Amino acid sequence: MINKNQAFKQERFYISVILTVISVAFFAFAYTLYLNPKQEPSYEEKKKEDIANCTKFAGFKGFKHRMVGRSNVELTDDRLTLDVKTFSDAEAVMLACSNLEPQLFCLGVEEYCGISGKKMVLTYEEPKAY
Amino acid sequence: MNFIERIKEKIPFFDGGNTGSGTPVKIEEKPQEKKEVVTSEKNWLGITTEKVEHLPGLIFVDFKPGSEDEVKKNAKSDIFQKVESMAWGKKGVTYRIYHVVGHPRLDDGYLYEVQQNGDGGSYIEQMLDFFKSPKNDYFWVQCAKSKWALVELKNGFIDTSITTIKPIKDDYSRVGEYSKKPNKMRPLYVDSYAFFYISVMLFFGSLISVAFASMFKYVWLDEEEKFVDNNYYQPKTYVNADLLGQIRGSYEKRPVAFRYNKSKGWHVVFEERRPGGIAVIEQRALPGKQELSAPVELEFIAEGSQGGDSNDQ
Repeated sequence: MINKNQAFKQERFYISVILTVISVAFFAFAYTLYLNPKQEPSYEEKKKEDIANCTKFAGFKGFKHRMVGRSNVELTDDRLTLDVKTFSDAEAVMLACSNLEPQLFCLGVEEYCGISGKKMVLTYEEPKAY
Repeated sequence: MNFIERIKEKIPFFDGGNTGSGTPVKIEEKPQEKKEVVTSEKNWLGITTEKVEHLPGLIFVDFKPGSEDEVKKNAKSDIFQKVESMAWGKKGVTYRIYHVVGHPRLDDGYLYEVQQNGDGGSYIEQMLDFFKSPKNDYFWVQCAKSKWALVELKNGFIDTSITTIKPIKDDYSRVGEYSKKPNKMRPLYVDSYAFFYISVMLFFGSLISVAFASMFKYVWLDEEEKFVDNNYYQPKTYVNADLLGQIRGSYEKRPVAFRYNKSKGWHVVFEERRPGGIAVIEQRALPGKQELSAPVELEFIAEGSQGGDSNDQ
């Protein structure tokens, strides 16, 4: 029969060390919880929402859209018109698309724009949350 | 059979203070009660430490034959049982288990020594050396308060008796040497639980802390961070729609593309007819300006050729 004092004599020290280490880790975790009291929002949801809003607005302005890769949105319109409204619409899309950075816009012939009409490429940039 | 009779039986020349003829024998009491001895020694760090040597209050030695780990475990539990049965208490009880291998008079096994209020020194080495000789069947260890422990080796087993009878003169060589004990005894019971209790309290404290922090974050506050939206279309590159919308082509110079990019902003690409070919030129349309910027030639396409490399896309 092993005496309980003997059984825990050596182990007690190791148990104490392990408990102390776990305690320090728990305190550190609790500290980070207090330090960042607000919960982190879903960046993926936000991205989907922003792109959906952008493409919806671009659709009102006559653009068709498609995703290029995970973060690039390509907007195209095969109508080749040249007036003040054309540029205002393009600029409106750029302004309406929050968190999407305009990379290029091209209005012209296929030789110079890759399409006879209008083409715009926007890249999604993850916003900061506070 | 009382103890003295037992001693007499085991040690033929021991007469309990009387000779066989009834004449009292004067025993020269060489082994005097030892006082505490304090020795100072420097450790490897050069720090002087004091070691207090003193006699054990009581001592018990036993032997368990067999080299298996199970035997060692049994020896440990035996130590506890013995200490409890002898009512030594927990304070100051030290023990040592020694693996005996290749001893001429003992089988391989575990020899253990338990002391009450010892100084940490062990008699096991002295005892085993002493018992190597077939003539030596018993060994004396002086204890505190004029007590003596008689450790006997008989038929491959060790037995220990505590007595107040002192060894006779002939047995002086059989007395364990007080100052030659290696300091190898270990405490049987852990007296201090402070570290353990503190660690347990810390653990529960940390659990409570995590629970409160989680409650605070996910229940009481329960608030998500807010996104701060960015708009990357900057005023310095706003479109000059009035200017661009009025651009029309001519035979010599016709617009072929209206472009925007991050670095240049809005600009127009023209094909300009020149003698010998067509020049592709670019002019920027800055916001607030009434006319395009100075032309920059991108390439020149000679007549008859399929076209040159473009410098801009």
